[in-house]
Amino acid sequence: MIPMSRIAFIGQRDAILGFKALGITVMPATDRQGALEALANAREQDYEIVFITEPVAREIQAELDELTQAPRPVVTILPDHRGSSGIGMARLKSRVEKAIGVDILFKEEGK
Amino acid sequence: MEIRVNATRMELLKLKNRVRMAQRGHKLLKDKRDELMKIFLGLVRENKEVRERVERLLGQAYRSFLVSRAVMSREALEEALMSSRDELKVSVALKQVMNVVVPQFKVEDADESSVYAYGLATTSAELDDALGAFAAVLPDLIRLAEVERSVEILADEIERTRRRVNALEYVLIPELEVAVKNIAMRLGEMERSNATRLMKIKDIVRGE
Repeated sequence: MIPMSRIAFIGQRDAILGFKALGITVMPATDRQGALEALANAREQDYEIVFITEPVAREIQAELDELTQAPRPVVTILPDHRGSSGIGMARLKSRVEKAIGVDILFKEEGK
Repeated sequence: MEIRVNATRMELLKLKNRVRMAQRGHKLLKDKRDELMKIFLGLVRENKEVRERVERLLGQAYRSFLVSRAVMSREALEEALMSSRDELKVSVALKQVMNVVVPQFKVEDADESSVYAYGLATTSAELDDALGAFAAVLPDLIRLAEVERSVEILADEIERTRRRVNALEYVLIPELEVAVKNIAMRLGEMERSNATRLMKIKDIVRGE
């Protein structure tokens, strides 16, 4: 039996409301308090994937870093309607550095 | 830290066995690390690709959604979205990569037309576009979640493996080798002193 699960999206209401039509649970949050509540909620209800918009993610960075140790949910940071600020890439980069010791990911682009 | 044991043949044999064991473990772990690295690099590349694509597509989707919000009244929009379909379900399978468990997500019931589960009379064409765009990025979003988590897990595992490889290579194995050498020297020394003692005794015995 493959376990079934659901997806939640935490972020600013106006931006993410459209995802509701896809069957994703939308949890509006703008500040730190709301984001933490939404995150706790998502964990309680066993959401497997939690998307979270960048501005909200920045508010609760420390909590998110702790969550990487937990088996679930899988938290993915996505840009919101104001565009990407590069947080997601920065996280990827730091993981590469942690694993390999050097950053080989962006070197080839001359950065 | 120096390994202190009695300088006996037994201990020498034991130590030599430990050296062999450590070297075998070292080689295995090194192979594991190299293989993990290979998988990791592939995943990282994919992660980067998917993320770039997602960030681009999502930006477009947000834009058209905001447009649709502008042309529709808030109530109509909310109503259209409220009346929509059941919760999207993903199935989670666990995949083993070099003894590391990573999740794999699959969307069940990915019927795109069910996105438009609202009355067409009160909604705008822009909303259709926006939801279509959201639906189009969704598989990539889920793939991104999966790949990003895999990268995370593998990064941890590589770091752990690398520590263990280094500990064996630079600490345990050299220490064991020093200990083996010390014991071998002590034993040789004891043997030589024994030989000279025997010679001496022989001389004394012959002299009588």
